Amino acid sequence: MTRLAHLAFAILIFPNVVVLGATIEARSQNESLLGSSNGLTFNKDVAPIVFENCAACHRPGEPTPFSLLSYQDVRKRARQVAVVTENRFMPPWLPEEGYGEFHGQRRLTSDQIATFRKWVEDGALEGDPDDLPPLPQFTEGWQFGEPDLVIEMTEPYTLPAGDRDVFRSFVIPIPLPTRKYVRAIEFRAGNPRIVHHVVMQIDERRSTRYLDEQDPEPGYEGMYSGEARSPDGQFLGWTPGKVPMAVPEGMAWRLEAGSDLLLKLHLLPSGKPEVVRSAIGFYFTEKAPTRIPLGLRLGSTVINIPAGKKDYKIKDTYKLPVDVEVVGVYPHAHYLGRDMKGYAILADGTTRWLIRIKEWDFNWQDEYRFAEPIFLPRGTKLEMEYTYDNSSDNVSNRSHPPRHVLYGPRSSDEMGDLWLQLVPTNSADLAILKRDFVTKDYQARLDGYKHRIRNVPGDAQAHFALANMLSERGETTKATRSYRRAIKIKPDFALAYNNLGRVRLAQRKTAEAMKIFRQALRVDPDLALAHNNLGAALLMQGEGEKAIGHFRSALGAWPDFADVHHNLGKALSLQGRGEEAITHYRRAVSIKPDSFLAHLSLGNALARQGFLVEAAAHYGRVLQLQPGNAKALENLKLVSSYLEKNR
Amino acid sequence: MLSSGRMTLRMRMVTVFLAATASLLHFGEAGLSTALSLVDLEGRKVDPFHRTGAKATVFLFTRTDCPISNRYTPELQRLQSKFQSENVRFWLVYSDPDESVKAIREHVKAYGYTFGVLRDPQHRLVEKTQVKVTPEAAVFVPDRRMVYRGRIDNRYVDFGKARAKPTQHDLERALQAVLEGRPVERLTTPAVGCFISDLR
Repeated sequence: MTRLAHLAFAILIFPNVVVLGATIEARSQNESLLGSSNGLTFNKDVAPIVFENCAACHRPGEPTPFSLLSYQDVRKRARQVAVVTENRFMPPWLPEEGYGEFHGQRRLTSDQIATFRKWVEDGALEGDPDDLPPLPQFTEGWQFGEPDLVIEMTEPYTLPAGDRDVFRSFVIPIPLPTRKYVRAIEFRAGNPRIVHHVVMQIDERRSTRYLDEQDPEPGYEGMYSGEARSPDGQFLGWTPGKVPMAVPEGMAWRLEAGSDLLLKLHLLPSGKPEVVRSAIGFYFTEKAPTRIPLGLRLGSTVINIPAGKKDYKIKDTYKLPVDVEVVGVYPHAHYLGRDMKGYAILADGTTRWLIRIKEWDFNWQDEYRFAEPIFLPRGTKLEMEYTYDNSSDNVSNRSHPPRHVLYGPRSSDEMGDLWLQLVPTNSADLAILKRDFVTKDYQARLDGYKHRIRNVPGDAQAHFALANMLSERGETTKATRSYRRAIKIKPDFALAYNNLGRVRLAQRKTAEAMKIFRQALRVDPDLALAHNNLGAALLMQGEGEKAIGHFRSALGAWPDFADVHHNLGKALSLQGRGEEAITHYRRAVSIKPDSFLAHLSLGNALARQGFLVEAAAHYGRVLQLQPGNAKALENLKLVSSYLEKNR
Repeated sequence: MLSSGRMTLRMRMVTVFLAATASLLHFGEAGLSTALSLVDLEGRKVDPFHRTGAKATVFLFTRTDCPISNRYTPELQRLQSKFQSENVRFWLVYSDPDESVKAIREHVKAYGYTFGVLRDPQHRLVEKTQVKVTPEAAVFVPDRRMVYRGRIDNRYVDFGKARAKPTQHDLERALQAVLEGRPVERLTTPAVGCFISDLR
């Protein structure tokens, strides 16, 4: 027995080495047999494929580790090119063929792949110089030309040589005095060698600055979003090779004055310390959007995958209440995601694929825009189904041995979202779609935080987020309890104090609320929100002078905070300082042109100072924004009749 | 039954070792220095075994522009600092004939290597050791016998497919075995990286 076992192994081992030698011999024989006259050549057969499909990214200054622009470049990686195209690692493109057509698809045909293979087998010959096609003309730098506004990470970040991926978020203030409409946004990595993928969101409420401030290094660790969102259902993402796209006609998105850009970077160490300072270019348009999309999320917020589980599934479905066009899709999971399906089931039972990814790869996540928008009538069911592998067979598994994984934002947690960008066919239906979807989404998010807290009771952020949701729905008792839990876990949680104070203020517990706002300011003396809220409470108590002090402190920390300008205007107005009040109301209106309250207050202040014509214009604007507003109607009538009489 | 099964397994491992060793290389006295035309960055011929007194000599095949090679720098430096006090000699072997000495010097400096640096433009050492990619390691003992060839660890599974952390530190285990006078358990491992055969 034992002897036989030895024999079997001895035989197994030897061929292993012998085969390698044989391969080499066969290769060199090939090379000597084939002259330059037959066999595929770079100039004739390979260059056209490389120039069209690889060179746009594989050139200097682009996010690739090497260039593929010449025979020498490609020859030095000939076999590598053949291998990575054959296993479809390159060009990077996850969506499966035949399940949806997208803009900027990067997929080689099997003939093209076979050409690389054959060229290598033929000896990777250069060929006749006359056969070489001209190198395509590429635009250097910003692809859309000089942007209207460029912002940069406020300081460079140094990525250590290290051996693990780094996930880091950077808060970048956007210096805009008034609202703008964005038609395109372009990301420049700054150090393309290490930036692997990027998600950008807009934080209108500056909810992430405190995280950046608390972290001694530039930015903060992880991909926590706070209240930052994808604006108007637009996904702002970047992966190497992504061609920047302008929004479809009529779909520019609103960028409010005073917003921050939250830049979430997935960084891949190169082997030596690397400095990165990425820049984002904005391209504006004068045209307000005529079609506003909705970012609709299907998925699960209660993912709970036992260690070793191989085929964990999540499913979700949503029935469309209105006719829509699907413009884009953004599938998202972390390292355990494998198979992803997104599709629509029409009323007649037929299935229309939206996207299919058979081998999900977190490193190459992207958003996709359909080549043609897909019309889906009311009553269509949208469905998603993702499969996860939390066994050690999944080499992407972050944990070895595998561990129990829950829903959450960190890369070691798991997520499962299928974001769809929808535009209602009839723009008036947007409100119906939003109202209908919000109910589903609210429940999903609520379930998610409750699930998280059940499993990780010490997660202060989860208690805080749950409290915000409860407070949004007026469930003040429950919200109060959750804020207090967050504070108990994290006693320096300034935003939790602030939001708790807001809840108490709404319950008319003014004295207690003021105490809580002061606690928030003890933890973070520059927290504009708490200064504003404390100012508002003081004003309610008739303490105008003190209130003005806090409003000014708020503006010191956040100069473009429209609500504070409004409140300060109010406080000044109450003190009879009408002209100063007008200045601040004007700022509020220019930062937030859609705020009926700001227009109303400005109208009143102007009327009091005798500027009746201008006051009437602002009352008119209030009535556009909020038809039938009683105060505006009444004051407009008064002002108009006065103007009439004195004409 | 059980214990006899274990016996067989151990016996098998010994057999594997012997069989593979026989197929691995042994350089004679005239081996590396003269026949291999290994040169340092000054262009001088180098015998990496000459009077080093090293208990093990590690050749790490690399090139300046291979991202996988470069990403291994911190791990290689960790191994060097772990083993240099135990008299293990590390050499970087640049195998692209088109790489200029200047480019190599810059690369060594940028990544902070303190290894000995060799060039193998004619792929003599590549052919002798049968390494296929960068980065790949070949470990020799003082009698010029190769006792390990292959990956540094199993972090990379394929191009673009990597574990968060390696689960097998093959090179480290091979060196550990040599220093402890044990046979190396796994003599060859497949390495993932940039193909050396593309560098002609």
